[in-house]
Amino acid sequence: MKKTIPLLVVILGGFIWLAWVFVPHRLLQDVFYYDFYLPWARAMAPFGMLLGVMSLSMMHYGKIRRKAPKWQYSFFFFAGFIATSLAGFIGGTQKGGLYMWLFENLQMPMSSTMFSLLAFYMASAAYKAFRARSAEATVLLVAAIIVMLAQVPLGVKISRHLPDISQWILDVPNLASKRGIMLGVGLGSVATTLKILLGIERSYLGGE
Amino acid sequence: MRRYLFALVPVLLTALLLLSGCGGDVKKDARIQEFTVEDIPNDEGAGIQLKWTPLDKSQRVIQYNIYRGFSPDSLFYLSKIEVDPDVGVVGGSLNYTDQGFGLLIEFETAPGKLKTEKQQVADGVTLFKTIPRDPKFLAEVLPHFMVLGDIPVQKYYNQAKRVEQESPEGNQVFAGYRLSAFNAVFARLLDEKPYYYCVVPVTETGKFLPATEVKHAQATNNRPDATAIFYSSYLEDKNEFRFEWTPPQGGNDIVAWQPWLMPRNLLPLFEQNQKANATAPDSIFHAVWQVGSIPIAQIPTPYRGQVLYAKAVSEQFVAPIPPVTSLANYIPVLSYMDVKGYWNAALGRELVIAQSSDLPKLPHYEVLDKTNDKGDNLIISFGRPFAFVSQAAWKNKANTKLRLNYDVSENGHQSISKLRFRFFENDGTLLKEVIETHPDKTIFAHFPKGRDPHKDFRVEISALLVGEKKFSDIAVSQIVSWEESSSRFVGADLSNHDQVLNNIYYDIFSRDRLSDFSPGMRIGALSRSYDHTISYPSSENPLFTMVDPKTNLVLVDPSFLVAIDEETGAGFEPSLFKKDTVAEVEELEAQINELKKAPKNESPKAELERMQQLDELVAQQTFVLEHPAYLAGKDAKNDRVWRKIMRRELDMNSRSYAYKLLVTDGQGLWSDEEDLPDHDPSKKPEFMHPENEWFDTTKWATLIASIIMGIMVVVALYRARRFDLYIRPIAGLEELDNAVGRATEMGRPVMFVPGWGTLGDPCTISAMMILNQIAKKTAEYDIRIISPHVDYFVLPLAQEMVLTAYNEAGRTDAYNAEDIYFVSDSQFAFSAAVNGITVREKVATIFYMGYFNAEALLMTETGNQAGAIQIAASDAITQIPFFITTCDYTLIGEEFYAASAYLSRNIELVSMLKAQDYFKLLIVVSVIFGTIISTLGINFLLNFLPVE
Repeated sequence: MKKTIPLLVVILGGFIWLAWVFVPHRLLQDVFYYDFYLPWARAMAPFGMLLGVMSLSMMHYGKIRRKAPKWQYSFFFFAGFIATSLAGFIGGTQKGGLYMWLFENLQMPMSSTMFSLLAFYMASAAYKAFRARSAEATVLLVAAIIVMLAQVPLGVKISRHLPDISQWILDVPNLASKRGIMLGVGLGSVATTLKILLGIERSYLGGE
Repeated sequence: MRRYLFALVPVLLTALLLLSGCGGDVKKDARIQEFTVEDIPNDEGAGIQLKWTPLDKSQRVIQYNIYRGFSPDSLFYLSKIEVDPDVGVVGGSLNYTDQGFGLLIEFETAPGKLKTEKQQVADGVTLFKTIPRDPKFLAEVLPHFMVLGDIPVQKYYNQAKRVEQESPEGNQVFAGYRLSAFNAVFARLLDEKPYYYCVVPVTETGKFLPATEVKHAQATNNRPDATAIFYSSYLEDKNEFRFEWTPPQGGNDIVAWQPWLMPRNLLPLFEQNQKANATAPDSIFHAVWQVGSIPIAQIPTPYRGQVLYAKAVSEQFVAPIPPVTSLANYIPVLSYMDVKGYWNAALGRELVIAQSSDLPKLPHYEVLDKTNDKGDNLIISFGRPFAFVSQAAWKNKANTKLRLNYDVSENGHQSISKLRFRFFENDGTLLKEVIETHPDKTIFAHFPKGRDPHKDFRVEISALLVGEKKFSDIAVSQIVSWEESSSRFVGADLSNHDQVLNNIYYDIFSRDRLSDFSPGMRIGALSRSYDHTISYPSSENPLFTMVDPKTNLVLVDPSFLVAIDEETGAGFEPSLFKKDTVAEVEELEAQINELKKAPKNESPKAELERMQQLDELVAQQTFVLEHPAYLAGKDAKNDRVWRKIMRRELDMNSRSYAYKLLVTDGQGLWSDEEDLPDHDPSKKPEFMHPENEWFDTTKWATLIASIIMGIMVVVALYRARRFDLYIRPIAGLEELDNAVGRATEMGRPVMFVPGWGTLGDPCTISAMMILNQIAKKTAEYDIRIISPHVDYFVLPLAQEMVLTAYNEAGRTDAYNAEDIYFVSDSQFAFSAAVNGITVREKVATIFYMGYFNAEALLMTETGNQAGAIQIAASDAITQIPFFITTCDYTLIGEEFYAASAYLSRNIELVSMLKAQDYFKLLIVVSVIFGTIISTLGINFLLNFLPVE
């Protein structure tokens, strides 16, 4: 029973969602989706967040308690968590408050810093990818050069056909391979869904 | 030293915070100086406008709070205008208009009890937060506003409590609701009542600066303004005027319109009069120009709408109309009067003199229920679908190959299978004919060599619809002309049935069974269909009558209009409570009997009135007593059943629509169905009700494909149990053992990153299955597994997966729940954490399995630099190239989904994998077959497959 009931819930839920795709009737599109599912999902979200916060707190608490390597950093988690929560609960989340100040002056610059690193990492990845070590890599290099040049005015100066060639590369070989992958992904998704719907895959219930 | 560093960081942070709070040269006594509160001019008494000069941006004001009250000593928060403290207000003044039904109580934000603002910054006035959601306080507010509530339909019909109130006329029945049943409460200002306002600037630190002086105004009904836009035409052969006009702003209460013909020489006088009207009291209308002008007709407001149409035939003329030869000497003028009797006038555009043959022609149209919807759309479809050229350009140096882009105007129910383009010179010589077998909105046409490449040409386009065998003889015709500025051709005027469609509009009049026809759905004539959305009501908006002091219930009128008799106009307006409706019907009977008795010495006039009243009541009684909803509801066991029956009838009547069409050039030349030769004035409107559908027919292909996939699974399962099925080796999965083994040898942990997906994504489920397999190996090798998470719903599933794997390996003691933990749901915070773990924990092997975004490269590059073996699997196409360049092994797309079957070798899972392969074979065959038949111009497969 411990596994049968959850399995039945999953299968029933799965079939309702399957019906939701094929049936445009109001009963499923409005009554089930808007009146039942969405409020239920919204109500569930805060509890899920609580789960996340508890997990993170327990992990850092464990580190401090065990004096694991670099355990001092865990205090920063608690300091940041408490300070931000207090700023939000007491001062509100509106612009001008401490919470927003923390968001705009700490979180956003740090996120931007991480994001800006991406440019350098991309250059490094491009270097690795475009080294003409084999025939395939050379094709990749040539295609990349054409596509990149076609994006800038210099490309058109070199040849007015470059944008057309670039577009052809994107529209034909690139799109064909992308669609090939997407077909595989789509089939894989359907297969995974079927495995769960038919009860073939049950490992998510805690055992096969 | 480290201890001091730790202490220094919070100190620095605190200092920074304090510094940020001490911004600039804020003046303590800053106060808004210019603040006015006035009635909105030229409106129907619907609102009050506030205007003030904002403070300088050095004050760092972030918003202006607006407070309103019905007495000068207590004002309640009404609304706010947010401004950017860095930029300030551009333009020098701020306005706020308190008009119509504005929000009074919103249940998510309103306080439970009356609360004052913490910062009291107004002299001699108490500022309160918003009106509280307290019925007792609402009872005090009700006399000062017109108040209505927004209540969900289910609550309106199911939570009504019957409340009787004593009144001088006898007991009155109301429907009572708890205030909390409403989503929101809205209030509208009452005419001629004073309302008090002030504005409070709020700085970005939340400080209230001194409030403005409290000022008051009354919302008054004024003279309408002179902004009406008036077009008129005169049909010479019919001796008839047609008018088309846009009412003035705030002119919702205009009740009468009068078009005039004003001699041109009176124009200066008209302008002089209008100038005087602008400053004159509302009751005085300067209109000396009318003395020499000719009134055409008196027109009552036909309906409420953005654009109004009316005609005046000779019988309606209130004065003789001058001969057509002298009409050019007159300018049309429209004068109008509002409900209070205030007049104004607007100068019209030039009168158009035309014949009835010049009128735009009405197209054939039909009303259809939209298929594959939830019963909330009807389609008004005009004739056949057609295509028209939007632009064209030469594609070779010889200027013989022309690429044309065209658009298709769909009519909502018929699909085009093929298009035939015929190109002609202006003298009628056929240049080229092109058949478009797949309407992809681009064609190529080869024109003869030596033709002037900039010369215009004509194109005739005819369509072959799906199910038809030959092209229609009806073709649209279009001139395609050269545009020098853009060096290309553009599609010019499009003719259909010898009528140019580019400059005419269809105005669709609609009505349900409970109201009259009104226009408002206006589209260009190039469109072939109009999608009329008829939403299901989600809420009701009853007007609040009072608050019951005993029960604190909000009382509203319990009756609601369910049906109207098309012939007599009698209405069936039942109560929410069955017994009251039955009582009302009985009372109607008593009233009829009373009216049947003629009083002594009754005057003929009184008798006529009595008989009229009697006729009305009898009509109403007959309509109600014979109404199927009443007959069905009479036997209802309780009020709930009664309301269900009434709601069904209401839905039928309020969501059934009839339509009329009017076609116009937008400048007074219009025709409607009355102009059709076969028009029958006695014909009743035909109503259509949108139907709920149980199957989306555009998804037949998807359903069939799903069924085939299911059959293939069964076949594959059958084969898997009998034969040993081959699975091609997948390098990334083959190496999984080695990768975990390497971590074991190095004595370092393994990390599993499940990506950005939620529990609803199949890729996350697939990732969890792989995690289960990897955890089994780490349990076997006794090596630590770390898994940071971005989604808190995936976390418990991951913990369960790892625990199961450790249990199966008999190493429950080695399982550590703290190693599978939530990190952050912020993208870059998550990638920073993963990078930190990679470096700090010196992980030897990293698995990236799931859906990833831009953070993928940040994490894999760090792993690469840290020397970890990395195996990635994702269905995110944009990230796969990055994984390939930075990871040792990458599972692309479907390989990712195959991983759990591959690793477990479970027969059922493997059979699923084989079913995927069979299906892929089917897709390949379909693609090849589809390519061949499409090339041959056979499109049934293309039309069958869904387009996403």
